[in-house]
Amino acid sequence: MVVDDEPDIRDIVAAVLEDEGYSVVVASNGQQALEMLPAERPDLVVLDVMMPRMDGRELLRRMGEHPELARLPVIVMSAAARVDRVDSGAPKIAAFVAKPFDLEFMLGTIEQIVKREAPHDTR
Amino acid sequence: MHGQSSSTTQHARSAGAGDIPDLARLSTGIPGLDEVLNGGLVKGNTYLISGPPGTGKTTLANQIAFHHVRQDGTAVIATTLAASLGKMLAHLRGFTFFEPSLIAERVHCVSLYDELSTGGLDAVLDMVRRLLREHRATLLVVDGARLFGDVAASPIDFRRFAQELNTQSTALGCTTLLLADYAGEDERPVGTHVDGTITLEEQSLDLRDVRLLRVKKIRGVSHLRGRHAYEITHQGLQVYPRLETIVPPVLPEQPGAGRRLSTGIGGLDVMLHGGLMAGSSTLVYGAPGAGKTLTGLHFLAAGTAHGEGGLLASFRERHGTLKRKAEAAGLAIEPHIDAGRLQILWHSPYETTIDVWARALLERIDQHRPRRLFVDSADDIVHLTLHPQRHSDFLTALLHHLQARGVTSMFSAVASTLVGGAVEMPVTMVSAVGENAILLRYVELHSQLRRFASIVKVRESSYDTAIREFVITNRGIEIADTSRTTESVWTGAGRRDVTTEPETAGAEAQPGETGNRM
Repeated sequence: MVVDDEPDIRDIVAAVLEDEGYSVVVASNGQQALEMLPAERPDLVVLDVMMPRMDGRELLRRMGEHPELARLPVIVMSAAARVDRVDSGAPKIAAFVAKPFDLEFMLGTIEQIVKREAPHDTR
Repeated sequence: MHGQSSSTTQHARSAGAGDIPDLARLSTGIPGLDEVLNGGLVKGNTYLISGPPGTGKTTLANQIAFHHVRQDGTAVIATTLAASLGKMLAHLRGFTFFEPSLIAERVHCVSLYDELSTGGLDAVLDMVRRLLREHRATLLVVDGARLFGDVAASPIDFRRFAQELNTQSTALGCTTLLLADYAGEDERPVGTHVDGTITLEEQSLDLRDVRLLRVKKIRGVSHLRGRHAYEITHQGLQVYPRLETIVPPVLPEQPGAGRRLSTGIGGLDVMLHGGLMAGSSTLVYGAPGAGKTLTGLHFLAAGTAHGEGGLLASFRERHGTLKRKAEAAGLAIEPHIDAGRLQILWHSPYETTIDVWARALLERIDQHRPRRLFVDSADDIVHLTLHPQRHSDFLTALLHHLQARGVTSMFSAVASTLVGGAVEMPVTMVSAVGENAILLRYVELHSQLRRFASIVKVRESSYDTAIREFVITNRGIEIADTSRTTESVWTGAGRRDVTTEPETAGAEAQPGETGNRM
């Protein structure tokens, strides 16, 4: 799942993941993501920090309240100079990616995490 | 990004206020353009290259692309136009930067026509993304980008597309050049979604067409603002940053700064109370043939005689003519030219712009380090400066660059009046490059045209205010040692000073006087 309020970022990340054979769902803010997560059960969440309605920090906190969602690996994207300021909350922060990001680097990171987290091929 | 060597990556210089430090740069390889961009394109940014057809957008982008791939980058060149790639490549073959062996190896040319016509803008985004990833491209050129706006269902769709294309390229580490033949305000919809806009334009001034490049917008870094001349030759584009926008170098003070330099004309040195101040600028103005060029040759020869390098920047007379003129005046400049101590830089006064000349002049000075410069003439500089409001600024900037390099300069200028009446002082020139000003003029005396010299101003120094007659002989310019030759010469029609006897040297023709107009 790609969660970002900026449509161009959301679309390019989703498009590149789809190019690589992943199934991708998108959400435009934390609230929408929280509503979709139980049903979609993604293998990985790529999450922006600053979003309207519900930001990334709050989504992480709320995911932590659900035992199943709390186990999901999350890649946090942030334009903040120091991404480690993000309060990680309960879910596992698999990686931080600073915006503007290198898409190929992010793709490699996602691939590693998915392989590590899922014993079977998730594509 | 992928496979790009560090040699292609420069970092923003810290000169501009507000620069974001350490922005990785991509050199354009276009002489002068990196200077205008204050270090090159910002890696991963998207630029709109805008301008009417025929201004060189495709040449500029391909020149950058071929330079980039020679630095280990990879380029994708895409066009929205049907069947234009072959023609484009054929046109590029005439340029020295074009290398056919790089096509399909490091430069990948594709048409987006089918995607655009069948799948619209979304299909173009998909295609571009796949191309960039497939070739691990670090530079994307899209020719005919204006068509995107034409096929967009709405202005909002077009803006969204432009934004997504920018984001996509940035995320893939690819610098993007969008080429479009927008004019003026037309570029605004896409211009707001790119990181920089470079416009190319042609201005017609009387019968002349002048090419001008302008960086209208660039995010995150400063640049040389305003319009800058460029030329297109078989080598591609060359940009000539406006001299006024370039900060003169800070160089250590030259030895001998502040001392007096001989003009090479003994009488003139006396009138100047010891010569010209090193590092100063002098305007020698007067009627055609009054002896301005010869004064400059004396000035240069006086330097070379003491081992000082000199540079003669001429818009009119070439080497052969100058050599003959000098020899007729007893100035042997040829050995100094052969030894490289005296350089001659000739430049056409037609069909070029002044910044082209300024670049050549400063490069020659930086290369040979002359201590003296004679420019013949300041009128040609003014002619090539084109815009009247720029005359003073350019000359002032030129002087700053010369002084920063420790050069003592002399400029000739033509006075409008040949004989008689008031001589109009070229105020712009005098205020800009005339720290010292010397007037040479003709006076009618006993049915003869006689030459007279006077010092009009000398900065921060006393000088002889007398008007002195001079003659040009096979020993060059010789100035009478007294001013009591005539009276009322300022009106151009002098009377002999009958109170002074005997007549002073120079009042009558001297042996060997050439009578040549110099």
